[in-house]
Amino acid sequence: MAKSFSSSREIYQELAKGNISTVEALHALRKLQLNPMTPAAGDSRDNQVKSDDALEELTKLIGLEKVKNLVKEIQAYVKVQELRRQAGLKTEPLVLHMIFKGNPGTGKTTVARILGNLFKELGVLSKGHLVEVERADLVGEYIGHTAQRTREQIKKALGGILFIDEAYSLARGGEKDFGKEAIDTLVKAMEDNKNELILILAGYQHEMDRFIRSNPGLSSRFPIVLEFPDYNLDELMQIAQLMVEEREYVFSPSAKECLYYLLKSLSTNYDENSGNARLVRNIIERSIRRQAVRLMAGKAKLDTEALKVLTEADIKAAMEDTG
Amino acid sequence: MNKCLIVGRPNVGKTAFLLSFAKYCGLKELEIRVKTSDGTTISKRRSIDAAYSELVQPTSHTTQELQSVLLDLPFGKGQKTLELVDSSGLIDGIHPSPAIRRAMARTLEAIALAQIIIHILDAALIGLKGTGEGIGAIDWDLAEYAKQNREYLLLANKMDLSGANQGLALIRKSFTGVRVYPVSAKTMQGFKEVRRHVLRAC
Repeated sequence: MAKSFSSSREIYQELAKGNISTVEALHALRKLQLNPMTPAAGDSRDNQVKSDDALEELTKLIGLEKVKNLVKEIQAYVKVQELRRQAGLKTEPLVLHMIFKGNPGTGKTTVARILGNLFKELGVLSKGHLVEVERADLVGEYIGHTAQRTREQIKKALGGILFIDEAYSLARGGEKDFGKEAIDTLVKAMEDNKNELILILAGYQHEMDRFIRSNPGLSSRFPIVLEFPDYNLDELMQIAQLMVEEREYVFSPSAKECLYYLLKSLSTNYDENSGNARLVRNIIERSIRRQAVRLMAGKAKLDTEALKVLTEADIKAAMEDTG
Repeated sequence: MNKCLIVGRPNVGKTAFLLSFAKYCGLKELEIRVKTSDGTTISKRRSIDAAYSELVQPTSHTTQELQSVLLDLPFGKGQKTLELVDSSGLIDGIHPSPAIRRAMARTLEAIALAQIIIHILDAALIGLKGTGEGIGAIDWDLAEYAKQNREYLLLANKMDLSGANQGLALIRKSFTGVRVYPVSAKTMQGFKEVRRHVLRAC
């Protein structure tokens, strides 16, 4: 017992060899455990760190303040419900089906994916993966086909999130349309698999409002509604900055100005793509290709600086492609 | 996945508890995974009753390998899968058989990897002896070691036998500050409380 061991492995070996008794082995293990040199990270602390990871990813997104607050709210709510359960108090069932309203490119899918990770770390979902579907994935070609296809998608999403993009299109065709059948199947699946599935319906603000009004049963089943506003000009510029940094490029000062006026002219023209992060990404990716063409055509020496800078000409050329 | 390890002296009913608890949690057929000393895993399917007659014996050290079953328990949204692991019995001194010594070393190793420890005592035997000596030195040390950094449950088993009540009282007196669950692997008495505790700990 007086002997001290540096690792638990050593203790197991000594025990197996018969050099120490089980009692001695336990003593040694306990001593080793009390020693702060071998920190045993608790499992719950791990979870805490991971769910904070998911949250941090969310915090990094530009704008979306309301969404971020709501997600924090949900996280706190889930944790408190868990603590209440442990304390033997009454708990509310966790109904976390959601509706995401907003224009394309406002971050709906990105947030859904982060939520999946967050819920997994919080222990709400077992897998936390995201299955993205649209009308065509759910609606079948003949009577009875729709329920089958919808169920297939639901099965894929069990343990994670089923994200239905442009969900309003399920109610598009009127009474005889198979979309109705898909909705019914989804509602039934929500009840049947309420512990394993989170459903997110996403789409344009107005269309989604109309969709929910036309299906009165839906609003009560989706208690969480997140609105994704269009990005304003400043936010779009921040997004652009972040995107080029991630790709290890930089804007030349005039390029930045050019992009700013470009986005501004789009927003004053009420372009439906204004306030759209996807548009910004497309412009940047195209100007990166344009830069490559310019560098190859030119005769200048290609140093690190030259490889990084996106110029005004690159942005303009990219815009001409877009039309 | 949460690992829940069942530990205790030989013949306190560790394997019987595992099988009975699996049955209580709704399993009819078991897939028992046995981890052998060379690290390979053998999987066998048995009905609970067949497993019981095969694995539970009145002799010491029937279990020499870590054998486990998976339990699905409802948890929040979704299920938590719990791996319930049965281990080889621990004795105070140095056992003459190398195989059993190795088995005990693996048990100690498994304690370090488990999140939940179920420590089983034979309440009937302790009651029969009438004094604290029925509780071995190994039980004290096991409790002290296992309590640190993980969930620890102390089960007084064989409550269906006569004399077990005195045993339970002795255990409660001896292990202060630890919640003692009186159970019977045979009659499933006390399983509800154990399941609640295990679920909470997951």
